[in-house]
Amino acid sequence: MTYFGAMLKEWSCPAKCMRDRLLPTLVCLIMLTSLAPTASAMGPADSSIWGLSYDWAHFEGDVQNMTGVDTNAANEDLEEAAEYAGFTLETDQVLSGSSHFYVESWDESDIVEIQDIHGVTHQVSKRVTELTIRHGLLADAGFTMAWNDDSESIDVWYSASQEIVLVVDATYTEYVDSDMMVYGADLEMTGEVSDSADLSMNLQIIAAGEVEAPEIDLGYSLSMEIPSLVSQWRVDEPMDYLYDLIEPAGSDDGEDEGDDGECYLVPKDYIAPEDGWFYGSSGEEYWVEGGEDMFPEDGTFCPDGDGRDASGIIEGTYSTLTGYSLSVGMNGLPAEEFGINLDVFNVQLSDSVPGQGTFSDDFEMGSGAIWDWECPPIGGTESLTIDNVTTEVQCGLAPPISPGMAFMMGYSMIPAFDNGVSELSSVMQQQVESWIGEISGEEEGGVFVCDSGEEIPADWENDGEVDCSDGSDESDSSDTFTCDNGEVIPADWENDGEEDCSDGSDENEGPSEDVFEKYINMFEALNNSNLPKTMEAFGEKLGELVEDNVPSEPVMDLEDSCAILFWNTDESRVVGMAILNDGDGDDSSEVLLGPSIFGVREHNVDLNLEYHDGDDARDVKAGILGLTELREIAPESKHDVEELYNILGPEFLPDLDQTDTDQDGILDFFDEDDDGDGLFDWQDDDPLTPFRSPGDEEEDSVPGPGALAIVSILGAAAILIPRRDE
Amino acid sequence: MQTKEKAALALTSFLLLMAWSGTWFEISATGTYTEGLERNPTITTEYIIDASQESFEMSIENATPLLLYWIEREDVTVNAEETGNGSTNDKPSSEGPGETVEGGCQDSCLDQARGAVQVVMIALLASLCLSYVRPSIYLRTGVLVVWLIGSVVIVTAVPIAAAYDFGVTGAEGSEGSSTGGFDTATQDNSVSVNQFAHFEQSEDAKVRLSGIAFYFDSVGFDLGLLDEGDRQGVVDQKPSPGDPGYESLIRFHGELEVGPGEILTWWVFTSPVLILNLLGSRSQKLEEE
Repeated sequence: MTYFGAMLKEWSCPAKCMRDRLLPTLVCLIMLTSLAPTASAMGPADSSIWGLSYDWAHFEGDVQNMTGVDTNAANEDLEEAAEYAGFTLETDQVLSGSSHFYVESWDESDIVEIQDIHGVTHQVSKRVTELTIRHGLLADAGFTMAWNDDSESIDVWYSASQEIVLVVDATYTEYVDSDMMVYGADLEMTGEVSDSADLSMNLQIIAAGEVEAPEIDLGYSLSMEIPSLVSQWRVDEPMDYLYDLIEPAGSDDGEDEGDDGECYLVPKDYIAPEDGWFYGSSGEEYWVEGGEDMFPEDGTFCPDGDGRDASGIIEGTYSTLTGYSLSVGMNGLPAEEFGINLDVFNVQLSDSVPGQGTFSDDFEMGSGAIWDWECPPIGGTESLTIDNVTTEVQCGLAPPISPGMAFMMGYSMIPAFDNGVSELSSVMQQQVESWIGEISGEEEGGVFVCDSGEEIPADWENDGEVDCSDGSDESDSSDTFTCDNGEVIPADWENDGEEDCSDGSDENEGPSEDVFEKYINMFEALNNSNLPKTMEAFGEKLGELVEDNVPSEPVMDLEDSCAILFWNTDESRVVGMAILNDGDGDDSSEVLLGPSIFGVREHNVDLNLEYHDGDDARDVKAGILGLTELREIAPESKHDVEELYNILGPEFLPDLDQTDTDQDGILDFFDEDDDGDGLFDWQDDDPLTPFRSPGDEEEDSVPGPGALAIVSILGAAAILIPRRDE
Repeated sequence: MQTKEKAALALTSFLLLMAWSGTWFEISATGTYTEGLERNPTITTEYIIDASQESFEMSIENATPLLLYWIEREDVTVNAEETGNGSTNDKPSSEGPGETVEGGCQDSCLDQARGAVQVVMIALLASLCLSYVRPSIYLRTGVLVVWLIGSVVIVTAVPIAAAYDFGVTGAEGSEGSSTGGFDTATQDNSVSVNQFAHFEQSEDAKVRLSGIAFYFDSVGFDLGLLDEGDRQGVVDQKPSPGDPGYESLIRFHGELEVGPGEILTWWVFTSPVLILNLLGSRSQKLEEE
């Protein structure tokens, strides 16, 4: 520190010593930078921010709150009905994870210059929108069933799991002039989406003295990662969609007419039932979607507002990583009876396809806002309280993010997505075509070469008609059999009990009649047992129990729900949203989800779907920005599968870690507080070490140095050592 | 029977039990398309036989280009063989390969091999027990003979039985595969040698402690990837990089290791007990003399 103090005192030295100070200055800057938070993707403190968060652990409770159906009671009903019918059934399902959707936007005052596609320079300012999406879901379900009669029995063990993750970070910078006319935008985004699932089923059937115990495992995984996507949109002529959010309500009867305001009266007779061209009075052509929605009776057609317009050019670059994995495992299938000498069979296909590329395309977009959309008692202008400040907002329907951002994301992701999946879709398409060809009996492109050298379609061979000039397409033999390896033998040698093809394909090794007889006997034995009566009794009892569980009238009538968005006309941006529902049947809705609206009541149903705005939303966003992995968004410690484990047994978690850190008798895997320090694992920075008192913590409270800090310290040391030598 | 003989019997029983419950025969193979397909698709297979079951595992990494290759390539050998072989009503005089299988085993050859292994294990234990109860040089030599027979059964009978059950008997008529037969068990439409122009292959084998390793390399121009009109040009003149038809070049490298599995290791572990038994008989004989 002494060195840096001295360096500051010498700050006013002449220019000749600036070169000597360059390195120390850089090191100081690096050291200062290292103190700054690494996740600096937050907007300014006065930005407009709102969003939604949901903890999926509350899903069953929320379903009960909204519908009155208790899923746990439904499970109990199933088990009770099974017990009544005379067999055992245990089932459970677990869902956990979280979802977050946040939109933050702000204006920057700096004036910058950009060029439109004609090369004309415009002076504009930046409007930045950040979209942050985090969605992680863990789902497990399973059941066991055991039924037995005197000599027949069926045991089923079933387990299924699914994991889903979606991570999107997009920053959109829109260039606007003082009249909110848009001249283009830049988009930078990263994202990842993946979905994987596994299904296992073990079955044991004993009937007619036979035992069948197949085990089947199926799994898939699909993922797409976009490590980088950058695109730029520049307009042909300025776009006015932000201006739509400034216009006072009621100025155009709720219709967006576009900036030229030219509309055409469309009589009902003119309504086209299908999509087609609409010809304007001056001969212009517009591609419009048909139907009465587009041209209502005595309606008008306003080309700029209702259709998509050419709005410039978009170009960009992307890199992607698309992966998939498919697995099939089978054990204990009666394969040998079907001529397959295998007992255990596992096949896995996987691929990870890297892709990168550029794109350039005409950019067409549509926009519009509906001003006169109401959710009584909300409509027109309302007062919201955000961070204890009352803000006047316009109610209606408008895109929650800038339309330019939505269209840019769409235009940019399509080529990235196409690149990632084109190879795979090609495989699937060709395979499906091949299957269709096989099913329809069409031969694909095969040719038969006559002895004379002529070529004819393969399916003309032996069709009863001579097609080759030498007649060689019609075999002398009445019929032939073509082996899998291409050899040709007389047809009557097929299935004659002797292998004539070198690959043995002339002898059909299909299952013998004894095998089918075995399964028919098993089926008949089960049918003659008390199984049918048991299932009948189960169904009847379940019907009774479920009837008690389901309320005669739903707790909430979802049809009475209404969504509405709020925008600030001064800023031309959406600043929040709400979902309303009439909970008490007084024809006036209450706020089910949304901000505090002056004069409007909260709904009596308490959902765990959280709406945040202002500083609350900023805090949530800061907390989720660093979460990029599934296990971070959906912590395993919150996924309580202990009851499912009790039902399915060790086979459900064959590699279960037996560690019990706090020795409380609950294994860490099932324990929400592994170290027993009173903090839940998902809130605990170190879930395996008990929380220390502040006094103890002071001893090691010096924050660990980051990579940047280490570099700067090494740099400082490199500077100091030569000085000491001097 | 002395205590040390009881201990030797117990140890032998334990080792035979371990041998019985371990893997009996393993084939593991890895094949990579090193040229011609994007991202070098790799097929990994493992075939394991143990006392109760046969298991097969296969995984294909970077599978998409390989699936596309399998789907897109046209089998150009079918018509050629149809016209070349023609059809004939004369029944071949030689027995087909399937008949050999039928004639060789009543049911499953592998089950019979399992039975043979079971018999030699029981025979080994019984002869050892007998040699302790009634010590004689003949009985003790008999133990060694049983052990040697068992070794032969484990090393040869199990793999041969598996090969018969699979129909992999090296029968005549096999036209070969561009992947050395590597993928014949994985998909019906294996890539045959006749499909390729300028086909070259090389094979090598090495004996390792764990078994025998085979190496296979092949390269050729897959005519099935070319338009029909372009095939003859590739056949007549080997394309160089950049020439039309060069895109059909497929190069494959495969490694296959065949080994007897854990059963042989545990079986070999029984040999010191038997040698001590034999040495004991010699010292006893010397003492008697």
